Amino acid sequence: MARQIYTLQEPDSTIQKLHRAGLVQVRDVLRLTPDQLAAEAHLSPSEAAGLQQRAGRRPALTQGRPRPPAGHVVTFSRRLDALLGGGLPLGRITELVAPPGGGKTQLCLQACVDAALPAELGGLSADSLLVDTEDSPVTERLHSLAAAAADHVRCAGSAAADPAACRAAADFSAESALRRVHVLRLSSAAELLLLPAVLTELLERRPLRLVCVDSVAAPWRYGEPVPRRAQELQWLAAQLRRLAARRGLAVVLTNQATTHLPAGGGAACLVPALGPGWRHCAALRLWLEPCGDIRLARLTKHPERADGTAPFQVLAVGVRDVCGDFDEPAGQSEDSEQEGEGEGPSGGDGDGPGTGQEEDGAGGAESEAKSQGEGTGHVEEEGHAVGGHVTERVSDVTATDVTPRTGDVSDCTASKRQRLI
Amino acid sequence: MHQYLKNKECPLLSEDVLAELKNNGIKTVLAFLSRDSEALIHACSLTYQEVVSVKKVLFAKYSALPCSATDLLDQPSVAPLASGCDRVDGLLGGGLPAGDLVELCGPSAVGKTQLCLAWAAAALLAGARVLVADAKCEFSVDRCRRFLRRRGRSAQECDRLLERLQYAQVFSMQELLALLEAVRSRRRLHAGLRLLVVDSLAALAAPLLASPGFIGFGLLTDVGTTLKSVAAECRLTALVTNDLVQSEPGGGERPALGLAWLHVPHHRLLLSRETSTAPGPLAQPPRAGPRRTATLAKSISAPCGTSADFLVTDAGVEEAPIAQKRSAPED
Repeated sequence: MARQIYTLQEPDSTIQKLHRAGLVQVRDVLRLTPDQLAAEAHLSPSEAAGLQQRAGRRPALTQGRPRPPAGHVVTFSRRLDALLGGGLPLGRITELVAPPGGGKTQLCLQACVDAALPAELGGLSADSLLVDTEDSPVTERLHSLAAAAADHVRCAGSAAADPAACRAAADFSAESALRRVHVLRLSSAAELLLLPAVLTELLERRPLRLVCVDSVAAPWRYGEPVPRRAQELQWLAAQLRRLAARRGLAVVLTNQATTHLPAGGGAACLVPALGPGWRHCAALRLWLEPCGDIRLARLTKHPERADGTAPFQVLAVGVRDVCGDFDEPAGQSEDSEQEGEGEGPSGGDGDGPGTGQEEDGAGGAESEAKSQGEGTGHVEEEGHAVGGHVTERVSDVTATDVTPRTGDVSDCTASKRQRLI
Repeated sequence: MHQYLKNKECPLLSEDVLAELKNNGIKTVLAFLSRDSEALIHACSLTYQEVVSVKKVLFAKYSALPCSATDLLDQPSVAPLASGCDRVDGLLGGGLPAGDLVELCGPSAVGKTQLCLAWAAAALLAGARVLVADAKCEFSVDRCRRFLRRRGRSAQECDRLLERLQYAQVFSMQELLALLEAVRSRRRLHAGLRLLVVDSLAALAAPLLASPGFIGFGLLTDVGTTLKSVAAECRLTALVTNDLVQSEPGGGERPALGLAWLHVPHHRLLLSRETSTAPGPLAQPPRAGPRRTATLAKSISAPCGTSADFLVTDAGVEEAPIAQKRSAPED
């Protein structure tokens, strides 16, 4: 069956004119010369020429390897990068799913800073866009992450052999990194549906390589009727997929976790929110689970790699590896091997302290005092633990540790205090 | 049949005759053949005999003529395409049958794209060509190359084999239709083509299906018909992946893309994955992941309801070891 004219993405009036001229199939349109088409269908010559050009388009076919292997956005945790095959992939959509306090926002913020790292030292030297739909207080956290990254780059650059790397490291600073991070605050589903247009416009002006949407679930939960929501989400996913593939963007979407109660009885389990149709939209899915003092990332979907898990922790300086060996705990009990690894502000999502409870800012007085107490009580432990495990890989951006100066630790406590207000 | 009448159809249709017919509103072959011969004499300057002979020529060219069943049986048959996992191939009677539309249906991350990769690698190894229309950017040519290497081919051979794989990224139903039209009409695209993969049709159709005016369903019907006709004409298998959705709140699951689509594919494989992530009592090969099951839900030539277990490994799709009875109940 040959392709019909109604399948062309042209305005209805043009399609009607073509039908009235007796044209039914696309190849009839292509067989006529532009002048004949203009005469038959009462179109202007330029309209007819444009119509023929668009009708004759077909997707480009490439042979063998479609394109060179795409790059990645590193996460500063070597184990997590190894799990993902190098980091968050460019050209694909990655979905981060977690219950509250899982670390989705923290990982997004770290990725935004990491995209700005110099290309000579493992980054992308590129801009990133953070789309915030949950009103998280991200600015100060971005500052501290950028400062820690700048410290690391300075150390790495001073010991690098390559002069280009040294120059790039010298040019990099916290300010230059933050200038490459763009923050967009949206609140409704309608605004989020305009995101592809915003991205197209931003791509004209800046070398954008990473887009993080935190979270894609918030504008759509409990708002609209489900079929309309499903269609809007599919449309948005299709547009983001197109942009990611054509422009080489890494798209990271965070999603909330909801409970699924099987119809025929049985145990409840955690599933990603936004319905079963949404689960097909992302190419990669990473579940983040709080696990005692650290987080566990579980890869459940990847086009090329097997499933697996990787531990990481969220410290004052950002996302980092977990030192030493790590055994995945069988149950919910805390692992005693994790003592002395260092504590961090595990209330990463900005919802509240990382105990998995949701508390809003108004009720935060008690939690604030509690985490202040935690912070002060463990300062010496953190300094000691990290000081004993300094491993600066000068040629490898994803270091397992960065020694914070004492000043930084108290800054961390101060910034934690401010974040909870 | 909707083609315009042209001089080259029949020498009796001169330019003057065509102009006269056009003035009377008869432009296409179908319009000419549907009119009565008496009416046609009044519409143009042909005689009755000439009108009858033009009609005969047009019928011979444009209408389908029945052929006998023995002629159909005598047509050379194309061997089914085996993926390498005998049990899964056995569900379909040896592999993907040529000339048919096969649908792989399943939840997210169950292995639909991996099975497509395994069949694509098998087609390349058999010396045929493969065309992939990728809507999700998850069809990894690197992984296909890894499957070929694991089958013992050298690096140069793999590169040579992969030249026969044609890959296109499609992001809308209209682009897919344009691609299928090109495949059908251009000989250099469909010569030697044994497998046409669309991964995934649900990703292409889902943004349109709830639109007003049912244009989404119209496009979907077009795509289904075009895939089947391309598969039949070019003697290839059209392999399509689809999602599972809930049929009603609290109800069971059914393939996505609407109730009308359920009738379209010739064969449908439903894929599922074992849910427990805790290591079971079976000794599975490393990096194998959970056991997956393919069930034949619809077929025009093989018995339905049969199922086969398989694993997705570095080498491709492999058979899963026979399941032993589990002593402890799963949580």
